[in-house]
Amino acid sequence: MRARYPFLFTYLLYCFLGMEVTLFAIRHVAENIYVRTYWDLELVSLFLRFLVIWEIYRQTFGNTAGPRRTWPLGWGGVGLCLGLVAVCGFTWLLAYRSFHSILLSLECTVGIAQAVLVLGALFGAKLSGIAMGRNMWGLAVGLGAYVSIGVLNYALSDVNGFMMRLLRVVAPSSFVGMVLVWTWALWNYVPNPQTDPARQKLPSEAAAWWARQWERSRDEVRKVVNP
Amino acid sequence: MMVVITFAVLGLVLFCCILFVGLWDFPGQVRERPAVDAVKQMVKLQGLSFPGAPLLSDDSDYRLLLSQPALRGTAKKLRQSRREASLAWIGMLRADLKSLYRFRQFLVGRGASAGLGEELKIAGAFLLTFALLEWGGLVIRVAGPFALRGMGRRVRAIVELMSYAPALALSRIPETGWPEVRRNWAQNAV
Repeated sequence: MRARYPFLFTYLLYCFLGMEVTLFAIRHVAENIYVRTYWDLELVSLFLRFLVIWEIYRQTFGNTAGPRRTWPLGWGGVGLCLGLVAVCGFTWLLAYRSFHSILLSLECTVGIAQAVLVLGALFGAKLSGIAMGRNMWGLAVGLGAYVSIGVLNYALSDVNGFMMRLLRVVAPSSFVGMVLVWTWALWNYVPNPQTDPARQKLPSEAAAWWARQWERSRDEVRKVVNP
Repeated sequence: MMVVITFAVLGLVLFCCILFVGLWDFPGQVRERPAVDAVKQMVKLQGLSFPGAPLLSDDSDYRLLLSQPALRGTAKKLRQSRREASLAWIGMLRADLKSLYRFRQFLVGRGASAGLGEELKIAGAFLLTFALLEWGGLVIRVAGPFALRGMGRRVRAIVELMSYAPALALSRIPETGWPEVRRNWAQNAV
């Protein structure tokens, strides 16, 4: 996995060593700093999830065979990401005023951004006709479901804490669920099927026909606009 | 409190969307090819009949122009007109999809109804196809017409697949009754 999915590997390594092992040790050695350490580590984990999302995008849109990149968005993609960051910043400001906890508001806003990015990857793959292999499909659906459940849980848990008991069960369960889906999806190496390069290539006759017709239609429009 | 509840609802909606998109597939194909052909004859599908659609998201001519410094202005204009053409085509596909849905409802009203499961599945597929078209339009508006290579071909295939939904309903009506359906639909559509 380290060679094939390095970003995912980094996240999982952090979750296991950085969080589970460290928190287990702290719980038994210095319980008084457990809560603060948990939230510090959780914050790092929150942002490391972007690595997994990057892995999904990289494997889905960056790996397709063809003469040029399929990685599509270029500057438009940068614009989309900046727009998402701006929306998140705005919602975070709203959330920060309404939530009782700054950490929960951060979990919610970043979670929404991540869920939207995962949904965008699934939509993008469907729309571009890129078949997702079991690995990436499981990774996307598992992560998307986990972060969106996280948003729901953290939002409800802030309502006077009455959902705290539920959160204690649902949040870890959703993480375990995600890990189970990932385990199933990544048990065997099933990458995205490569798009047939022959299907990517457009017949040159068709391209020439298109260019001719396009030029003709533009001429016609010009004639109508400037007789 | 409103913001908190909005976040909770948003989380739930995103969860449902991710599962829906992740697990979604189109309704099954129709074995009776004549029904599919008949639907295409009965319903006017302008977007689907546009032959140059796959080339809309192909950027080879744009790159060719862009490689010549003197033609960069022309490349920008081409990109702009391709963007407008892509958006217009997405609009036509949206109209096609509405026509297909209306035609299916028309057939269901004439006794070609199936079980609740199929109705829900088809309604869901139509809804998601609409969402896909909207999303495609948004990507084109934000990132330009060449953002998703192969999108034209794929979107066309998806909307074409949706023509199986009314074809499935039409195949439940005896073939001898199709001319009457065609006449009634023509009157209805006017």
